Amino acid sequence: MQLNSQLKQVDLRRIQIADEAKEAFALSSSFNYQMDSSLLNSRVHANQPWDFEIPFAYMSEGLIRVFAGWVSLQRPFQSLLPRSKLICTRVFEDRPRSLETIAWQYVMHTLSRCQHRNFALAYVAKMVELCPNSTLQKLTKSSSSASIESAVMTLCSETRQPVRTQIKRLAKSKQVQGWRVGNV
Amino acid sequence: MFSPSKDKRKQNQSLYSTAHIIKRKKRLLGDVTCLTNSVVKPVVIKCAQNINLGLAPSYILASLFTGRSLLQLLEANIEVPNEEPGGQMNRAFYLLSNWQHPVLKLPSKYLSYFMVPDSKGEVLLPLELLKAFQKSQDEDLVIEDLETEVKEFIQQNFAGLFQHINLTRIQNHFSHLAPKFGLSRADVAFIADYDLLDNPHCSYGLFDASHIMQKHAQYISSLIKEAGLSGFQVQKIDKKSFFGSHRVLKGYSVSDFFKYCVRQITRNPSTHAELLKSFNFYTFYVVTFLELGTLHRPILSEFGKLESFDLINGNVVIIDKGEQSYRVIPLSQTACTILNAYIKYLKNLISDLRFTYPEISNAIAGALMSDRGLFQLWDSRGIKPYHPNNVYTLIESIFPFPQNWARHYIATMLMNDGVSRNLIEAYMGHAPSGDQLYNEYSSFDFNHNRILSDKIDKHIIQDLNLPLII
Repeated sequence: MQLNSQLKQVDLRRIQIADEAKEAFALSSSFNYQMDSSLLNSRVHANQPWDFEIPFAYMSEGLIRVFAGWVSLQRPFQSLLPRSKLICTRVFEDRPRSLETIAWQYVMHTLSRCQHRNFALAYVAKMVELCPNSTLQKLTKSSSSASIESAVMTLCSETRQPVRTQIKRLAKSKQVQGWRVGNV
Repeated sequence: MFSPSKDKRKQNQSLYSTAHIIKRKKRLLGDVTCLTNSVVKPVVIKCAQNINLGLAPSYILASLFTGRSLLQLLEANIEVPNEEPGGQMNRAFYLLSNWQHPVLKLPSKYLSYFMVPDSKGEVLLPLELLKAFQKSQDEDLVIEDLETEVKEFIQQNFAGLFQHINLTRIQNHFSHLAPKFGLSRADVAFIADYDLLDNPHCSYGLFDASHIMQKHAQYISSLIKEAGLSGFQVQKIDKKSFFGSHRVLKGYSVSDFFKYCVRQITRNPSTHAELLKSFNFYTFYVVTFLELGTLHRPILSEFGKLESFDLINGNVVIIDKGEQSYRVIPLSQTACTILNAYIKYLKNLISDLRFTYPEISNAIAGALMSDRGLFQLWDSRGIKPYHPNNVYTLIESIFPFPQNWARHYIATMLMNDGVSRNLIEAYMGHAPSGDQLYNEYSSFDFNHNRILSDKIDKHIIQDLNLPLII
């Protein structure tokens, strides 16, 4: 597939996340990126053949539809986008058939490369929950549909307990508690 | 040399002081139409003695006791429709109107209205008077006929006092003496049943009328005691009596409501559905918080554009019901902090949605640039102006609140806290701009509104302990 793609400088205003990748993008937007590699969870494996350093996209209706490699388009990194509003993108000639799989593979890749170990398993669980079954089976290379916890255990070679603990921790951290008089 | 004795001097001084006080009092009262005790006393005695001899004596007593005109007392006979009156005549006014009827109809639960407390804390009930009123229900009356009857009664019985007594003076006696018994202008309006339509904020409040009734009973008691009348039945007042708005919530309901809204908001949402829900509930939370603090009407586009807010000086321009409702209302420090946090959230959202939902991102950017209303809602069809109907459908199964509850809740809190009704009126936007009260209490002296705003803020933070997203 890479043979049919070209590296292009494209205008930011023409870029849009592909519809099939929007859920994957939304999930990765909620990640707390960890820049210290010693705090990453090395057990999250992402066996993927792609080099996601630049956005992957295809062209449709005059728009560049990004379906992977979008980290530079996310909020924390948007301030680093060039002033020329041109970014280097790998643009495929046609819409890839396995677009959705690549998008979720990219999420897995991001998790393995950027996610703090305290929440990595919980985010993998979230990914398993949101990812379509067919795509998940391709990612886990298993034909049976397992429970979320089991799938995370398989993907990350973990036991059940840390997975459960992290899921609870993430749910709690996402809740907006609001400040009370005593906290102000 | 003549020198008055010490006692004489003291007496003169005392006389002088009394005269001075009387003079001052007269100057302060300023109304020469006020009936004196020497006039009222024989009227009360004569009317009480002749209570069964016709309607005139009972109406004179009722007018003296309640400050109501004969017309008002007669109108109490008009049948009240079962359904709630629409338009400006809302349920609260209906309740207040309904409250006046017992003066004539006198169902048992309203008997306490004419109870008069004695020194032991018990009450005296002029049963004869009540019976006369009950009897009057069965007769068809014409106001002119009654006026003539009353005038004839006065002429026949008080020939020597006739030049002093007329129907207006009898009616005004209550309002003249009311301050002496601790009854405020609003309390007098409540009992005499006037001024209600001119003060619609009255219908926003829910208050315990038993305090007013107690004070009013003391007024009636003083009239009866001065007249030296006896033979009244003794009863006790032991219950609170609430009148007013049916839209007033309990504090814990308001608190639970805000806690529920906050629970629906997700920090760092992972899915589109979470993002959308969080956005709508966060907007709902901010709008409702601001409504509580500013008493904005939830009718049109909420609070208009961002340019309506002055977050540096802490105030907001509100035009929520036509030009007449224009007012500047202060924003508390908490409200400013919450609004700043919301604006920061919107700015982040613009970045988050820039490449996924550019049309939504642009719409929110437009709201921050005052191209459209600040508060918007997001559904499957896109962004649309905030409207309370759309949000309340999300929660009505959990909190079946009436839409205008925030105004009713805060107005009640302020009224029960003893805040002047005029100030509440100006704050709620009931006084039209250019009106003397509005200029005096709102535009002309902004500090009055600032005091109210701080009072509301203190209530929200300390009494309700609402969760704050800041």
